[in-house]
Amino acid sequence: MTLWKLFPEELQTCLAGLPSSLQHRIEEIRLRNGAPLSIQTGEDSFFVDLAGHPTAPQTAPPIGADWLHRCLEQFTRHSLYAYEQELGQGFLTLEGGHRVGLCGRYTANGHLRDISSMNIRIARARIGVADEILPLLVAEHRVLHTLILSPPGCGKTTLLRDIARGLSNGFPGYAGTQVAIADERSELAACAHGKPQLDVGMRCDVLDGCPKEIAIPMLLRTMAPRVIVTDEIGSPADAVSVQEAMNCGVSVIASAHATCWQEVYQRPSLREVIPLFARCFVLNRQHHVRQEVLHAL
Amino acid sequence: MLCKLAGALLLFVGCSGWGFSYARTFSKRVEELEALEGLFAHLEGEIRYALRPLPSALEELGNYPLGQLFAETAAQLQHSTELTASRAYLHALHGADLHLKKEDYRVLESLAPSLGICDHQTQQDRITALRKRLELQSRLAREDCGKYQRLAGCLGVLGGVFLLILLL
Repeated sequence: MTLWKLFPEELQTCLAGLPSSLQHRIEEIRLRNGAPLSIQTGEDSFFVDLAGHPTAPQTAPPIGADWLHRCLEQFTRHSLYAYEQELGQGFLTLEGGHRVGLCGRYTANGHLRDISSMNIRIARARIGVADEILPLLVAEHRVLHTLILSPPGCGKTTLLRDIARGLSNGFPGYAGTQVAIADERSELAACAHGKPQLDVGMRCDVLDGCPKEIAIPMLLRTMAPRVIVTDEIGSPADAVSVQEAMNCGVSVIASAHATCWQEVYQRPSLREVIPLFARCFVLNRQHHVRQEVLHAL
Repeated sequence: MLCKLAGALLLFVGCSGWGFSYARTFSKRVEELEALEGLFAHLEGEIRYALRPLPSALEELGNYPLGQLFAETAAQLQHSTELTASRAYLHALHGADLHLKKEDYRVLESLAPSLGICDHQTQQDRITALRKRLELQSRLAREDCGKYQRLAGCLGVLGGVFLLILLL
C-alpha cells in the first residue's frame, strides 16, 4: 500500500508482515506511546508485534516516543510549519485522504506537542456505495438538501464522496450537475498537487483545505455550483454558511456526527439548519444506510 | 638548454596558475554566499506565503544556480523514511562542492536543528536570521576578496619568478 511508504522502516516491516487479506481490511492503525501497535478492522481490534503477527497485548513490544516523532516528521513531510493549523486542531491529512488524529499536550498558543498517540484512519474509495440512495436525492431534476449522519468511523465520508461522484457524473434518470466540494480536511477528494486522488466525478470542483465557513461562500461566488458537498458540519459558523448556500438556491449535501436526527437536532449550533434538510440518511457501524424522516421538525 | 627553458616556463606557468586559481576562490566565495542568500530568501518566501512543504520547496530551488545543495536535500528526504530534514541538509551541505570557509559552513549549519520541525513563525525567523548572517559573511568575503585576491595572484607570479631565479 502506498501509505506504508510514509511510515518509518520498522513500522513498514510490521505492516508488511500482516496477512494480505487483513491489510486490505485495515480501517485504523493506532500508535500509542508505551503501548503496542493496534489495528482496527471493522469491529475487530487486535495488537501486533514488530513482525506484524497478531499477539496478546502483554507480549507485544510497546511503541516508543521516537516512533511517534519519526511518524510525525514523515507525515508532515518534514514541514511542521505547513501543517500548523491542522495540528492545532489535532489532525493531519496524508496524501490519499488518510486522516491522522493526534493526541498530546495542547499548549496555550494553540500548538500540539509531546505527541502521545496517533490514529491513522485509512481512506478507501468505495465506488457505488451511494448507488441505492442516489435516486432518493433527486426530485423533479433538482437535488434535495441532504444530511448524512453516523457516529465516527462508519463511512460518512466514503458515502459522501460517492454521492458527489454520482451527482457529478449522473446516473440513470439523472444527467449530472455541477458539484463543488468544500473539503476542509482534504478527506473527500484527497487532493494532491491540485488533483483529486479519489474519484469525485467529472463535474466536480474541489476547494481543498479551506474552513467550511470560508469555502462555501467562496464556492458560491466563484464556481456557480448547483450542489455543494461538505463533510462534518458542527460549528455555528458551518451552520450559517450551509444556510447561506441553501438560501442561494444551491443544494447542500452535508454530514454530521450523530446516530439519529434527534441527536443532531439537540446540538444548539445545528438546531436551526436541520429542518432545512429534505433528506436524512443514517449509517450504522455495519455501514448500513437507512433513511430517516425529519417528520417531527 | 631548450629543455631547461621549457621546464622554467612550465614552472612559471604552474606557479602563476596556482596563484590565480587561489585568487579565484575569493571571488567564488563571494558569489556563492550571495547566491545562497538569494536562495534562502526564495525559500523563506515559499514558506511565508505558500506554506510549501520543505521537499517540494527545496526541489524547486534546485533549478537555480547553486541549487544543487537544496535539490540533493530534497532527493534524500524523498528517498528515505529514516532521515530527518536536519540530517539530509547537513549531509548535502558537506557533500556540496563549494568554496566557503569554515565560518561560512558554521553559519549554514546553524539552520539544521530547526529545519522542518518548527512552527511557521519560528521557521521564518530562523531563515531570516540565517540570511542576515549570510549577508554579514558576504560583506566579510567581499572585504577579503578586495584585500587578498590580487595579492594571491601576484604571489603566484612572484613565487614562479623566485623559483626560476633560484633554479636557473
